[in-house]
Parts: sequence; structure tokens; C-alpha cells
Amino acid sequence: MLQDVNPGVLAGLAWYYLLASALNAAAAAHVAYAEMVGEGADVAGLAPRTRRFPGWLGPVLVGLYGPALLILGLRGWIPGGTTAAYGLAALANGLLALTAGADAAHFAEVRASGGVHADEAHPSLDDHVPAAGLGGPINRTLWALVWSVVAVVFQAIGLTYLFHGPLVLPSFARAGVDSMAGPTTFFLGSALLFAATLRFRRVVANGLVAFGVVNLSILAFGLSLTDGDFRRIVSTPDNVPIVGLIVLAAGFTWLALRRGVINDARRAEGLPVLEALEQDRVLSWPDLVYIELICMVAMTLFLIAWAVALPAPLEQPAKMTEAPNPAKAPWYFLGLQEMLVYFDPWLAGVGIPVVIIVGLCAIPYLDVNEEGRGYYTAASRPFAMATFLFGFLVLWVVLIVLGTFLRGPNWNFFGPYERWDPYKVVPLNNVDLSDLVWIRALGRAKPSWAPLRELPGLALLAFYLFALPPILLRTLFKGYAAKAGTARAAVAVVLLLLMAGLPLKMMLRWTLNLKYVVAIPGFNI
Amino acid sequence: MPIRDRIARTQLWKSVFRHPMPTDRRNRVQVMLSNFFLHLHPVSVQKQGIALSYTWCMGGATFFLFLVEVVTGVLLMFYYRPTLEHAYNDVLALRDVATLGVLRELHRWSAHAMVIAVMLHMYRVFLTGSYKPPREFNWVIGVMLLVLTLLLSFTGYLLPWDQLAVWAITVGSNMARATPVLGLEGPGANLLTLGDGVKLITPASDAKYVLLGGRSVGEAALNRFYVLHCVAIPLAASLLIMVHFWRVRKDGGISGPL
Ligand code: HEM
Repeated sequence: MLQDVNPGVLAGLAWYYLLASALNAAAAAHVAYAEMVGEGADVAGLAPRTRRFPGWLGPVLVGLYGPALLILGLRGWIPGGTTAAYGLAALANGLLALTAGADAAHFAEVRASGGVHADEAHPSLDDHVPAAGLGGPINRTLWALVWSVVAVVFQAIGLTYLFHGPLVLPSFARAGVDSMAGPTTFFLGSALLFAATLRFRRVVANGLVAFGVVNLSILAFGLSLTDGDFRRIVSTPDNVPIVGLIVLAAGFTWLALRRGVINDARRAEGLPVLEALEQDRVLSWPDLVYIELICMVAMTLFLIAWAVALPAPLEQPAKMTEAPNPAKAPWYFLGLQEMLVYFDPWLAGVGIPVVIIVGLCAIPYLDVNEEGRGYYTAASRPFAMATFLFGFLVLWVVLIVLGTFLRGPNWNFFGPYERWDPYKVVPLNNVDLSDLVWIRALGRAKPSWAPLRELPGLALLAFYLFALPPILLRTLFKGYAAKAGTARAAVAVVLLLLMAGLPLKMMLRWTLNLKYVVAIPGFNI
Repeated sequence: MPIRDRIARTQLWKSVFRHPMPTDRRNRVQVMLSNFFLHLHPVSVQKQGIALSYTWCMGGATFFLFLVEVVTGVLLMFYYRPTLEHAYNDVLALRDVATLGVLRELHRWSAHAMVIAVMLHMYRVFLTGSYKPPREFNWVIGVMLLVLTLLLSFTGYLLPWDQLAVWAITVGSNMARATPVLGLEGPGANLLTLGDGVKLITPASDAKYVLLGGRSVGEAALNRFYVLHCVAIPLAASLLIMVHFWRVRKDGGISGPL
């Protein structure tokens, strides 16, 4: 049962859940006590708030977390210090969570019984004043209680690990995930998740939903860490930044979508966007220079902590006769290396990067939409958003994640909890388009003259690159072509088709086992 | 007179700082104009443009990480010799022998962070539509900076000369062999052939050879990557960063609505 976790891992997990619990306790306190006014929300005419962070709680928390940190720093000299520090911090978490929950209930009770502000017809600052577009106010009592319960549960899990409780991801769950995982499900699942996020951004932008997702992710990641194979992959030093990339990309996407939702709702109501609320100018000294200084100090501390905590990898000295398996490019090129599964090197390694660079440079000249400059929005530039976000999040980040975490020896796919077995055999029975057309559809031998043999593929390619653009320009992109001019629109459509070529080829591989559309040695596509 | 004021009145102090402490409006303007490092900034900025919720500070973070790379990189160069004989052992010694044994860690993790930060910076610039006129060309300069950042990281990846390094670069540089026309195994490699069958693209002259200075990752590649990594690309990146910052200002400062 415990073969996967050793005492060090258990201790790490205990601290992991301690932090998760602190996060939820803080969330509970925020919902219970803070002035919850959404971005750009109007509070004129609201009664003053009465919710207050209890005066005794602050000093008590400092008195618990402070010594905990101190003991932790001196743990080398204090026997049992780590456990004592843990106990203090856990106590503080529990105290904060429970007080917040209890106070939230208390506020609700006072109000219901005709206490503070209950007589006023209009809402008060004690209520949640949501930003435009994000739905109605939340029930603060309920959600303070929910997050405090979550905090207590996480803390309980943490204590279980502290006392070596055997909480691991059940093996049927691991086997289930592994058997469902595959390049197809992973990629399609991510693409669907992306589409759903964009489509239902109004729901996702809601802080409660987002925090719920954060908690689920914390739990899923924590449970996954009990699996040795998962741990080995995510804690490889060079892979750690990618965990950071996932968190940052997801977090920033959420922030941008949230502001976009708010701005779109405000524009619909005739209000100025959030970015237009702060029109005044400030002097660079001190406003900007100090922000920069604080950022630099914070980043320096962060980098030093990272450097001390995680040694840079150094493997055996280079041996040109002994290739490691898998041999992987640096992580930021793993999306391209993944493309090697579907394309020959001249496309994956040269063609696609060139198109990416050219395409990126072309964006400002192809996007002729004047809306959406200088503020976050989604509704006023839906096509640009969908395309770029798909390219960045799905075709770039998701494929990097796939290449880093899920591709093992021989570039075979391995589930997150699967051992990297160098002898895993995956049957490859890919066929070319010429096989499909001549042998399967027409039931005859393939012609030996290459141009004739490849005629179906060449025709398809010619249609895709030369016939489809004019058609698209007269139909789907008609409005765009009228606005941007034909030449510009043609370039845009061709670039879009090239980009769409990646997922299309991937899907052809998954459905028809298609290897090459055109199979001319040296010019395989 | 307090000691602080006395110092501020010395000739030495005044020769360095041309104005009193920036505590009032006049001197806050002065400091931005007269200090070389600060004059990158405009004297005043729009409040929303510098809001963290708007820029995410990712462009600034990229620049800061670039500076960290320059400083730690120069220090690393004191310890590192780019030859097959020394490279690996020098890197090994960095952990075990050198004072401040986290230099290499700082350099490597900041490099990763810089790649992430530059990608997220581009993401933010897209999301706020900041590439729209008049900032189109600064976006293009940005794309070049993105490519340079990736190349910086890629060339540096080889230098430790361990298994991880050489094989990652081998995987990467194998792609060059498939460059159309210019690579030995790329489509159209035979196009560059002189009249009577003298091929111009050979294993000793194709794109991969140019990249590596040899047929495979070896001493010449190490030297080439070292020079690119420590001199050529940083210089190019510095130049483009200067242009990038100049253009941010000339295009009207950080973008905003209207
Ligand atoms: C070494 C790489 C880079 C550095 C050091 C850098 C630095 C910066 C800084 C400090 C700003 C000021 C605003 C901010 O912090 O967001 C900025 C703005 C800008 N950057 Fe970059 N950048 C880099 C790469 C890029 C890339 C890859 C792109 C896009 C492809 C880009 C496009 C832009 C644009 C268009 C602006 C103006 C944004 C606005 O006005 O809102 N930059 N850059």
C-alpha cells in the first residue's frame, strides 16, 4: 500500500495540505469579513459596513504563525521542532477557519433578527456588490462556511499525513485514469475544456467557481503526488517550471476572461470599461519606479529561494554513443517535437516554426478590428480571441505538457501514473492516403509512377491550399474580406488553414491511421 | 545641519545627483529626466497603464530576468571553459567548489522563468489588443525578441555538456538537417546542384553543419553555441530590447482604451 510513499513524501504532503488549508481559511475570512466590492462596481448610496475582523484574532494568528516559522527556521537545533511548528500552524488555520465561519453565521443572525441595517430598504456594504456581468451577490454566510469546512478538511488530511496515515490514490483510480489517457483523449479533452471555458466564460469568471476549481486541482494534484511515477515526472528539476507555466497560464487566462466578461457587460450597459476608470496620470517617480523596485525585490527573493531549494540538473558526462531514451529537446520545443509524430522533420522542425513566426508577425496587420485595443474584452473580438487562445493554450502549452509529462521512452504515450517502460510496444499500422484510395477504396494495386500514385493526396493538398481559400473568402470570411481587402484576407485565410492543418492531420491519424497525405520521399506531408 | 543635508551639499554628491531628493513634484520630474537609468521611463504615466491587473508586469519581469541572466552569466563565465576537456568538470565544480554554489541554479531557473515570462507577456499584449495601431511594429520586434529568447535558452542548454544537454541539442539540431533546399535530408536538397552533378548540399555544408560547425554535436558545436550564447545573441537581444522600449514610448506609452 505504502510502497509509493516514504516518510519524506508524507511530510511534504502534510505541509502541502497545511498550505491548502491556510488558503481556504483565508478565503473564508475574506468572505466573512472583507468589503466585497467587485471591480468597477458602484457603491454610492450603500449603508456603511459593520463586519469587522475581530481585533483579538490578528495578534493570536501572528502569535501562532510567527513562532511556527521561527521554530521551522531553527528546526536543526530543536528536536521535534518541525512537528511543533506544524501543530502551531495547523492550530492557526483551524482557528481562522472556525472563527470566520462562526462570525459569518453570527452576522447573518444579527441581520435576520432585525439588527444592524436590517431596517434599511437598500442593500449595505455588508452585502456582496458584484461587478457587472458576474451575476448576483453571493450568500456570504454560506460561502464563508463552505470554505472554512474545506479548510478544516484539508487540515485534517494534512494531519493524517503528518502521522503517517496511509492516504494514497486508490490503484483502481490510477488504472482508470491511465487506461483512459492517450494522446487522443488528452488533446481532445484539453481542446474541449478550452472551448467550454471560452463559451461559458461568464460562469468561469465567477470567483466561487474559480476557487472551487482551484480546490479540486489542489486535491487532484495532492492525491497524484502519492503516486511514485507521477512524482518522478513532475519533480524532475527541468520540469518544475512547466508546472509553474500551467498554473500561470491558467491563472492569467482566468484574469483576462474575467475582466473581459466585466468589460463586455459594462459596455453593453453603456458604462466605461474598467481600464477607462483610471484616466489620471501619475508621476513615474514614485508610482512606477516603486512598483518596479518591489517587483524586483520580490522576484530576487523568489529566484534565490528556488535556486537554494532545487539544484540544477547535471547528468552523466556527454557520450555521443549512448542516446538516452527518450531524448527530449528543451521543454519549450516539445510541442514541436510532438509534431514529429504527425509530420516529417522538415515540417515539424522547420516549416511549422517558420509559419508560427511569420504568422505571429502578421497578426497586427491581419486583425483589422478597431475594437478591443487597450482593454480586456472577449465579446468584441471573438474570432481573434478564439484563434489566438487556441493556438497559444492548446497547440502550444497543452502540447508542451503532453511532450514533457506524458511522453516516455521511444516517444510512447504514458498515463500520468504509468511506469515509463522502455519495452512498451505500441502497434503502428499507419497507412498513406494512397493506400486508402488505391487499395482500399478502388481495390487495385498502387500505380508505381509516383505522381500518379500520389495524385489523390496532391489533389487534396491543392484543394486545401488553393481552392479552399477563395471559397472561404466568398463565404465565411466575406465580411472580413470586404473590410480588410482581398490580399490581406487571402493571407489571413491561408495562415489559418496552415494552422488548422495541425489538428486536422492529428485527427486524420487518430481516425484513419493516416501517415502521409502525400508520400514522396523527402517531401512527405 | 543634519548629516544627511550636509552630505547632499558636498561637491561629490552634487556631481552625481544633479538635484535634491525627489520629494516634491519638481524634483520628481527632474529625477526621471536626469538619471540615465530612469530616463527609460516617461516622466508621467497613465495610472491604469501601470496597473498590475493590466500588464501583469510580465514585460518588466522579462527584462529583469534578462538582467539577472547577464549578471549571473558573466559570473559563470569566470568559471567555465567551453572545451570538451573542461566544460563538464567546470560545471560540476560550480556546485561543489565555487563559493556561492547557487550561481548555476540562479542562471538556469531564471532562464526558464524568462522563457515563461516572455510567452506570458506576449499573451497579455494579445489579450489587451495592444498590438493594434500604432503598435503593430513593436509587436513584430517583440516576436523577434521571443525568438531570440528561445535561442538564448537553446544555445545555453548545450554548455553543461552532459547527457541531457548534448542529446537535447542533437534532437533540436537534427531538424536543421531537414531544412528545405538547404538541409541534406530536406525536400529539394538536390536543387542546389552545379551543372555536372556537383552537389552543393553535402553533409559538410548543409544547414545542420552550419549550425553545429561539424557533422554532429562536438567541440566545434560547443564553441559555436558558446559564442552565440555569451556574445552574439545577448548583444542582438539588448539592441532589440532598447528599440522595443523606445517604441513603447514613441507609440504613446503603454496602451489604454481610446
Ligand atoms: C525579451 C523580451 C521582451 C521584453 C524584455 C519586453 C519588455 C516590454 C516591456 C517592459 C513593456 C512595457 C509594458 C509591459 O511591461 O507589459 C513591453 C510592451 C510591449 N511589448 Fe514587450 N517585451 C519583450 C517581448 C515581447 C514580445 C514577445 C512581444 C509580442 C510578440 C512584445 C510586444 C510588446 C508590445 C506590443 C508592447 C506594448 C504594449 C502596450 O502598449 O500595452 N514584447 N515590452
